[in-house]
Amino acid sequence: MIKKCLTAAVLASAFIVTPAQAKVNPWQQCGIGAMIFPDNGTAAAISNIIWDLGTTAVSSNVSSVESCEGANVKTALFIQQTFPILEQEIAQGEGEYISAMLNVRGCNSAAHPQMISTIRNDFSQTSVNDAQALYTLVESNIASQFSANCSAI
Amino acid sequence: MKVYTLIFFIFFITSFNLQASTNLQQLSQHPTWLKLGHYKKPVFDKSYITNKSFFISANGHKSPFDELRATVHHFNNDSQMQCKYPARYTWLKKQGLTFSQPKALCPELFQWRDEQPIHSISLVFASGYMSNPASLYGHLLLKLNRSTATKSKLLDYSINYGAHVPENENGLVYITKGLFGGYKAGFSDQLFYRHQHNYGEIELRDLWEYKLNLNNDDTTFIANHLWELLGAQFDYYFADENCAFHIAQLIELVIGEQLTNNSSPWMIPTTVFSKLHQASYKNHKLLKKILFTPSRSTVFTQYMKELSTNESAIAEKIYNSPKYIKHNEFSALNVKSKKLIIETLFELVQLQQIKKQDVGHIKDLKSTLIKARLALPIGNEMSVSSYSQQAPHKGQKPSKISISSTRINEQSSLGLGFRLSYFDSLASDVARIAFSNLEMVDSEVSFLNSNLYVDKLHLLDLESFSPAYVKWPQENNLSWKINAGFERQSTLCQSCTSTFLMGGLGKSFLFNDNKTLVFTLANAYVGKLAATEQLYDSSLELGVITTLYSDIKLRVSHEQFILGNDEKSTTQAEISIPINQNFDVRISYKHTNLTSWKLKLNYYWQ
Repeated sequence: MIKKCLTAAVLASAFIVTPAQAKVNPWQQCGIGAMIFPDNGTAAAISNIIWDLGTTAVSSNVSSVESCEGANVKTALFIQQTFPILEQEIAQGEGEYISAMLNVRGCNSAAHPQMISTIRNDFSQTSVNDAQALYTLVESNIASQFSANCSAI
Repeated sequence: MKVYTLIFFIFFITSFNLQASTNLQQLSQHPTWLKLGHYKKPVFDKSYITNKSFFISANGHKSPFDELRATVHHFNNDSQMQCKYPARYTWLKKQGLTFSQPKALCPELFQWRDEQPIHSISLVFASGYMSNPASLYGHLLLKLNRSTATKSKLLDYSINYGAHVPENENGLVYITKGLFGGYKAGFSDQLFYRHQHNYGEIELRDLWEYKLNLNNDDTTFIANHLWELLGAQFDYYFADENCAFHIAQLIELVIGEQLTNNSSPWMIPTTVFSKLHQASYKNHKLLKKILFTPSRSTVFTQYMKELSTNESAIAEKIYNSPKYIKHNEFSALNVKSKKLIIETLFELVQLQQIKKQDVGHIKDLKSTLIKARLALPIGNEMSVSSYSQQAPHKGQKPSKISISSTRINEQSSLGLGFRLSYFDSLASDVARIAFSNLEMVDSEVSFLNSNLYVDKLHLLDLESFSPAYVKWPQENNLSWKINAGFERQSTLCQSCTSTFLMGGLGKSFLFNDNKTLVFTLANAYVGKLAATEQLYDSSLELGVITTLYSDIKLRVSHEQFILGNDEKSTTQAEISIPINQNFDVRISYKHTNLTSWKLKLNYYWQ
């Protein structure tokens, strides 16, 4: 019984909302903007070596701030690294990267089709030229329409 | 009576301790304990792990017994040690040991391992990558699968093993330290999307996933041991103590079969997959299934094949002028054709973005494509049922020994050959870049009139051709070649030897449904050269590599030296006739100052 309670507490702690996490700007406060991401083969070969050493880039190299460990920061990192593919998949309305992004954000898979459709609709009406703009669009959609389907941050 | 009781008690305690110590001594030589400490075979008096902080005992890195005794002591006195060494704890409990500390909860381990449970393990092969010396042989990583019907496999844990290389490392230092030592290495865990993205989308390497048939206990045992290993440091050696060796050792922890060979001076990732394919586990096959994830370039090439001639022509027009997407020719197409064209162009755009070619044009094109695609219904139209690429375990084995007979000017000689690795341009195309050549330590000797001659010793022989695989865009990149070593033009010629370093640059073109490659190279040589008295020379080379029938291949080339003396050209032809995965026959012709014919039987192994 004690074990079950502690297990539940551990699980619950993963989803505890802290004001610091909710308000954080991953690009400005968690160093995502300063991270170097490979965009060609040579850079990737080198960055493989760099990236593959720490446990995670965010926790071990860039920031140890607790507020930078929430699902929103992980989502921001995912978007930053895979933005060109996400653009393509949003235009097509489906794909494994966009689904994975919503998984990272803690969104219920049953809601994914509706969320992707909504994001796609907004994407067509606004100018989304970089990862940060896409992150803002995703978070605003979650806040306004899908907060019940996604984990709190 | 009390004295007898005391004597009996002392005897009991002493014998109990002696027995316990004997049991621990035996247990410390158990194969699983030796694997958990990564002790080196065959003596097990030194660990591959170099940081002493991994071990509990000060002598732990060199004494499995001291480490076991210290582990037992700590498990009896500090429950948190269970969280640091969960694999050791589980295994010792299974061996019948009991500890005075209660079972700890280990919340961090629980969150990592059980919050989204790890249910299976895969080994992933990233195909070879000619642009980075460390990736020529391909790469191997381990995947802890957590995905379900609703959780993406991109969020599985992937465990990578790599060297700790400083930023902006000099290339020569990188190769030297990689080969001869000087780098530390370790395991890291990341979400799989980072590797799929890096390898598949940026380095354009196909991925093969070999899913293993391990039971839940063994899956958890490996995950637990990886948890122990995440801070461990190793010495890195590119040839043998590399990713393939250390990741395969993790699987050996539970399967009872050897995937690695400690006595071999080299370890190649594809060898692990060959052994994995043959291995058994608890009376069934270790391998459950094989999954293929094509790289972006493989996807694009396949998509191009799926387009009709008309769709391809329209796609080319849009590629050249994005505004063409508003032309009636495109507007009049049905939705399916529009989607197929845009999806194919999306793949091309991603490739061009990686290559940073024509940046402004590609940006405009992508923006145009996104707008056009947003106006069409949701859902992909392109569907590729299967790719022609074959799994790495089906490829030719990397090491080679050969026996040959050569005929020159009415004289015959017997030859023997040895090649360390990996493939030549006439080898099977499975799990390698077609037409390319990657040979290390390739040697041939011959026996003639009771004398032994060294005919060839190539330390490194690399050839990379980058022809355009589709009709448009003509992505024709430079071909290149590097070779270093010793060669005798023919066994009969004592003075016709070269000790050289050479490099070449050129172009290559595909014909005959991509089965025939024509290449041109401009080569430069330095060293002691047979064709000239000088220490340098240059040449022009023209060649063809083609598939004649099934897997029978032919390579013909003519090389004209610029500065040489009268004997200033070489013409060669070679046919490869595969017998099976382990053998092939080669028939070759070479004309320099003399003409030779050779019949060779190659045996591939490792």
